[in-house]
Amino acid sequence: MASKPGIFERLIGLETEYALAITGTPSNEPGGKYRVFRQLVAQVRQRLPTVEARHMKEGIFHAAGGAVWFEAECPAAGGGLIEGATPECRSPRQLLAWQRAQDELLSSCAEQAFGPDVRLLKNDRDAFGNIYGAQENYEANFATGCVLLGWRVGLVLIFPFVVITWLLLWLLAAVVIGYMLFASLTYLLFERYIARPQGLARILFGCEFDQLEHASPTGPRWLEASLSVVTRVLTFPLAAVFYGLLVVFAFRKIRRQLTPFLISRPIIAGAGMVADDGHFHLADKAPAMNCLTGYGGWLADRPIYSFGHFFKTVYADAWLNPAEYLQLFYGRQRLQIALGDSNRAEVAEYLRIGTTLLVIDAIEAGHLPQPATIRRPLQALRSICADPSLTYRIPLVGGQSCTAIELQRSYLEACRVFLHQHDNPPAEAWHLLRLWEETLDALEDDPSDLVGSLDWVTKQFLLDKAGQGASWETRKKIDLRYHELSVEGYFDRLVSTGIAASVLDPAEIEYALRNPPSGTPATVRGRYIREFAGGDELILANWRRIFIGRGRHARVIDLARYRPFTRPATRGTTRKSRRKDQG
Amino acid sequence: MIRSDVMQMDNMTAVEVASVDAVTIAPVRALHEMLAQIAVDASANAAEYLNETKVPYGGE
Repeated sequence: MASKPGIFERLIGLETEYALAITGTPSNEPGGKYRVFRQLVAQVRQRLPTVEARHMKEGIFHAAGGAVWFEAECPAAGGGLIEGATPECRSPRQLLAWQRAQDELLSSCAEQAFGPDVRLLKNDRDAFGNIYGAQENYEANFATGCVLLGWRVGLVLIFPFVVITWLLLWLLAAVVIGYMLFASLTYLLFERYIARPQGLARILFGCEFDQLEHASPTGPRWLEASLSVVTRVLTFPLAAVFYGLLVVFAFRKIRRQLTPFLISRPIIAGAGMVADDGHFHLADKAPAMNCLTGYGGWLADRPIYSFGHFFKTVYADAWLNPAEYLQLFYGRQRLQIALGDSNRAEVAEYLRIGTTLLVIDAIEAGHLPQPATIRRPLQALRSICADPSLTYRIPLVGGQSCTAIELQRSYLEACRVFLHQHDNPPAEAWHLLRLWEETLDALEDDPSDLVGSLDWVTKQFLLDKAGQGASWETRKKIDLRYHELSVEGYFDRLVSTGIAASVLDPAEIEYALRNPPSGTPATVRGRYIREFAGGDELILANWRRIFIGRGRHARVIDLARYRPFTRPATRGTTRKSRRKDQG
Repeated sequence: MIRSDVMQMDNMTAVEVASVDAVTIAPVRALHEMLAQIAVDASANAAEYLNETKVPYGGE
């Protein structure tokens, strides 16, 4: 049975894909980003105990509970991103601290490994329109009652499709293994008979033979492209049927009530963007959204709610371990929101996480009145983002209209009532509510008061100072370098002037750099990693389990045993726990 | 029943807490000077920077 957690008790987390600014070396050569990832991970290993991830994606988990992944988007063709994932947290402040610690860890590791030649950018869109960036995860009720029953029946009915897809994927894997054997034998047989064996190696492996260790994990470019197409074709029937189930059953109540909030949220959480036509937009990623739900990039879809992780569980995780399929039957699942921007301003990031969390808490508690329904949500989203004056009126179902600020205020007031009606809301919730209200007031009265607090306001301030005569390239560089995680990055330069408002104490970030958050599965994961990493026993980790040892002596630690979170009986313990996280 | 080899939340001991005093606070620099520096930097090699930060194929 699905449970209803209180305020700031569900598990939450952030995933951030960092872009790379690379000078001096050809960054887009085959496997280039992968080599950067490997060197970056080597640096992380020197700072923190780490273990390899047991996952389809290559990556590591570290002792602070989080993970670092290589997001393999066509690496053989020059693509690929560094992705950091925070550990599971509970409160917005906790999550903000671990996100900032992750930014600090990865940027300092990049500086240590590459000097000024490689810097990370925490943004969402490059100058050529490629999209990546942030994803938010909130543990939430997938469905309840008859809807949940319908979902479970659907999972049983599609299982034959799932098994057929697994068999096809095993067949494909066998073909790939066969190819690698064939390629190796071909090279070893012919290398001594041809004048330039390096050319043969590049065709067969995508790199020279003695560089295989650092080669792209997906093989040569032609093989990578072929596998990408074949995998999509093989999984398409399952993907289509499974997506139909998700649209019908997944997070229906939350999606219905949360969507207007998310559509209007860029006025607070948008990072700002200089568009191709030179106009300034409130958000970086939002204008690229082309559907409300989708798998997220699987077929060039850019959804607000991403279901990609569910599909990965079916065709990837459960392919390797069929027991993973059972995870899909649970009533509590991960709601993934792909709409948000990667923030540099602490206040903006705190509000993005915190207000969304509070609204979801209110929805699940049944304390959120049915909000206004937006007539065309995606069109409204684009119009809101294209209007920095914040005067655009959103057409609502029923013929009325409202501004994004008015829509945000309706959620603010609903959350205020929710907190008043709650038995024992945490103090942080009241603090967050005040900050939310003050921010909306400032947006209405004088947005310039929010320079240093909201990213889009701060970025617009920088662009204004550059002057209207600045070229598009110059303005776009301001847009991008604002997000660079280095002392040369423009936001970091502004921080050094004292103009940027902070939410966290530096000691909280320092603490989060080395320790997992308390009261979550990450607490256990991080402590096991610190104890076993580098020891004699093999240890692997994923988000759900720790695997220690091999063969008959193997042990599996199930992190799900620590859910659901129950608030300790005494307030004193709660405060103590919170103080630990806040340093 | 939680396995005995798994650390339980209730049993966690006090954690090391970083001291605020240990953090070096950078000296505050003048805003107008910083804005001028940013304007100069932004106009230098801007197109090159856009190429350096290209993310082919994007992400999720």
